[in-house]
Amino acid sequence: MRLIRIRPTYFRGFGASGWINLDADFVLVFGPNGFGKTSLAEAIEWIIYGKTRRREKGNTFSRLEYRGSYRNVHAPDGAATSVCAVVRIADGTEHAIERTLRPSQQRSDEDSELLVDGSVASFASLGLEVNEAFYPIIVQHGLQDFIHARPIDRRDAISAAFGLEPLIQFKGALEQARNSFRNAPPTVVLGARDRLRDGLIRTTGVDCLVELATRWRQHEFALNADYEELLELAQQELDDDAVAPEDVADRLEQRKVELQAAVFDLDAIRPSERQEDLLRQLDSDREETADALRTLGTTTEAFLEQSASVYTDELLRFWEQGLSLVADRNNDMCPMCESETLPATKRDELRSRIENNQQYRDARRALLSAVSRATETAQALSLAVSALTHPHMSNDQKERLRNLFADDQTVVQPLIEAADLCTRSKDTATRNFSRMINSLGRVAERVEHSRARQHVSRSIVAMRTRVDSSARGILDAWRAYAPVVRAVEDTIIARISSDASIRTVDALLQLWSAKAHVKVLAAFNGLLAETLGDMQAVERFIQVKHTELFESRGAEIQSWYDEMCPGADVRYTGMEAVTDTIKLYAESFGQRMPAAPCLSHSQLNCLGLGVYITCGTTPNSPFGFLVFDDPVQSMDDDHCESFMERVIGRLLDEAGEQVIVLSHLEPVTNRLHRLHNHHRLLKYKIDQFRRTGPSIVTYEPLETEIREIQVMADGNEENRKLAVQKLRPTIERIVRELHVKETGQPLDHSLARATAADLLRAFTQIPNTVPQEHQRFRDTVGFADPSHHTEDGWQVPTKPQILTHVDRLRQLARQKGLIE
Amino acid sequence: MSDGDVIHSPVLRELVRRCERPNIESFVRAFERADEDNRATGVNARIVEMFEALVDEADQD
Repeated sequence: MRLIRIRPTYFRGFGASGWINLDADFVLVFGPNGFGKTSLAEAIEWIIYGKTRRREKGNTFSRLEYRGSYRNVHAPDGAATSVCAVVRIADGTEHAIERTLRPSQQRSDEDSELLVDGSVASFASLGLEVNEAFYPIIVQHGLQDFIHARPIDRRDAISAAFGLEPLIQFKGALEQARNSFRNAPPTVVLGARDRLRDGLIRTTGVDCLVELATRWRQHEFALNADYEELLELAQQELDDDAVAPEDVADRLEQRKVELQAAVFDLDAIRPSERQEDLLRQLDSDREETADALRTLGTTTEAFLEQSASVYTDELLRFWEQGLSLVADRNNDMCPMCESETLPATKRDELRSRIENNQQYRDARRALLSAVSRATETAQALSLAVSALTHPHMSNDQKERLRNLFADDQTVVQPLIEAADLCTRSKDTATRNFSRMINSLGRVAERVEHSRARQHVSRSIVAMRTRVDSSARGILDAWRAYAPVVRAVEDTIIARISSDASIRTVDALLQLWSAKAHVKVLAAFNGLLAETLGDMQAVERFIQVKHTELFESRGAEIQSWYDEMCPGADVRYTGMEAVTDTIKLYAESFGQRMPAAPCLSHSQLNCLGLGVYITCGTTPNSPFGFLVFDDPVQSMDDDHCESFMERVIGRLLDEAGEQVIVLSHLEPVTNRLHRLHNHHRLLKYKIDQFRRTGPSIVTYEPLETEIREIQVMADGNEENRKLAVQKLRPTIERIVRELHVKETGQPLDHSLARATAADLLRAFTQIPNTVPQEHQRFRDTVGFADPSHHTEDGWQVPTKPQILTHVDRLRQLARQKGLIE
Repeated sequence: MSDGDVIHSPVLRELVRRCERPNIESFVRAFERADEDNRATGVNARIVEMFEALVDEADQD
């Protein structure tokens, strides 16, 4: 496929461009940097591939920054971004190709549509396999991408150049996927790891499990064999060869409990699971009893008050006290009047009158009810205390604990003391509650006796204080016990489990119970191993492909390189594929060495060109053209000359390629023109770059332009007049080209309508121009100033007059390096 | 045969043919089915599927 013409529209630096004719064997485009040469090369790249390598590379740095960069920044809203081309394929037919950015995708700038002869189609519709292995656009800035790169990036770049990019991408995706799977495993794997880690900790010091535990710590599982071994070990521990696998866990658990109990039964001294409930009940009963006693106290006070008010209790007491003074004589006789004033009948009468009083009877009923309630709550409280069964530590248990920690009694002493306190508090409470219940049973009787009743109220208050204190004593002691147990529990368990037989049974139990988790880990590790094997297989295949490619195409790379560096003693000698990179070799006077650090920058450029030219000239490539964008920039003169003469010559003469060279160096395009002008050749110059895009014109060298003026000056008056008129645009061109040369930037304004003074000012402001040159330039500008030509008396200058200025311009152009 | 059954890239087809590892064919299909930006994620999802199948299989043993 050859390029016949192309028209970029609002693509990169282009505006609404016209067609650019490319229908020649050799197309040369000269233009200063920043004038749109690369936009032209990228237009060709984009219409073929729908992307550019520069953009792809940029996306790896910042997709956001490069977004939208295919579209010209000055493109009006609604205007499409497209590149149209006419191509000629091998059968001689011509076809219209058009690629357009999809309007909805202009922001993301990633998607485009290709039309072939007006229909949506791919290059395949023309029988062309467009493959990146044949990349026909060679850009100077990318020549050494694969050389000065990390090993893996070098391998990727060379692979991409040879069409192995999908393979490399696949390996990368597989590696990334596997790493992700390994580094962020499924939750079930994380749980299994934790569980296994806990189990393996228990195997410490268990000799029969050392080898297996070591392997499992490294996640090396032989699932069936490992569990057969564990079964055998479990059967040995249980002294039972017939234990079935499904019973192993239960039997080991049972054995462990038995062994632990033989050393010390921790369960016997642990707080009951119901303890907290029981203590809450006790506390509740305590409050109710206290409340009932408080009520009883109040009711007793009320009763006593009531009985006193119903009858003159004080009077009765007075009589009784008086009678007692003479009790040894006659209990019924008044000590003052000495007559029988309060006989037994009188007293019975008085008592009967009190007991029959309604208010007295109500108060007594209330008292009996309060006694009954207080008794009930006291009994409930007593039952609640009885329900507390633990902790009670027998003397035997204390002895075992002390023996277990014979080396350090301080570990268990707090536990023993806490248990003793619980026992004492329970005993005290039980005694107190029993006495209280008895006392309550006598309250009703005691209030009937005038001597006892005065103590009843105080006794009830004392009862309440004792109940509260006893109950709280239990609560405090028992609640303090649980944390003490928790604090030493692990230490006791560890001491119990340090018993070798318990440790072995426990470790076996842990590993046996972890079987489901081990299966998960075995599956996980097995899959990782398998995918590692897959990756290695892909890597081997990549190396095989590289070796095949280097065998078939390596000689071509070497040959293109040698065209540019003929007869050098220090030279590139070949590539070798190894794991994850490609080694580049060079030779210095017969001594092998790595190419990247040892060859010169220019030699490495030659190597880059060799690789990409080899790809671009692959025999089955659908492309019959190569585009070079500034290929010889930063190359030595010798290499540059060899490239221009031998490489371009071979491409044009032997390979029959259509060659398009874009350069910012005019001598390069001129030299190429001279070397290969026997081919059908087109030569362009990008003379201006404006908001509307590059201005691409057919190129005429400055030297030719000056020579034409010289020829005209030798003609008749009309010709001399034309010569003077032509001087002015030539002067403008010199100013523009000199400005670009000295500053690297084009003039920011056109000179077409500039006055002579404007033109002179533009010239004098160019760096490195001197006053003497300014003076001479002023004369020539004045001579060529069109405003003089209409003045009265102006005469067409003579040949010597014209030639003086022609010579000056030529001399200036030569001194400034604008012409050779 | 659906489009998903075809391996588009010639070099990946060659890889599958020459490597003769069943997983690779499966991974290549997942790779090609996924969007360009999510290829590693696509292959990772396939690995996770394979792992789940292995765990199920182990549970049934």
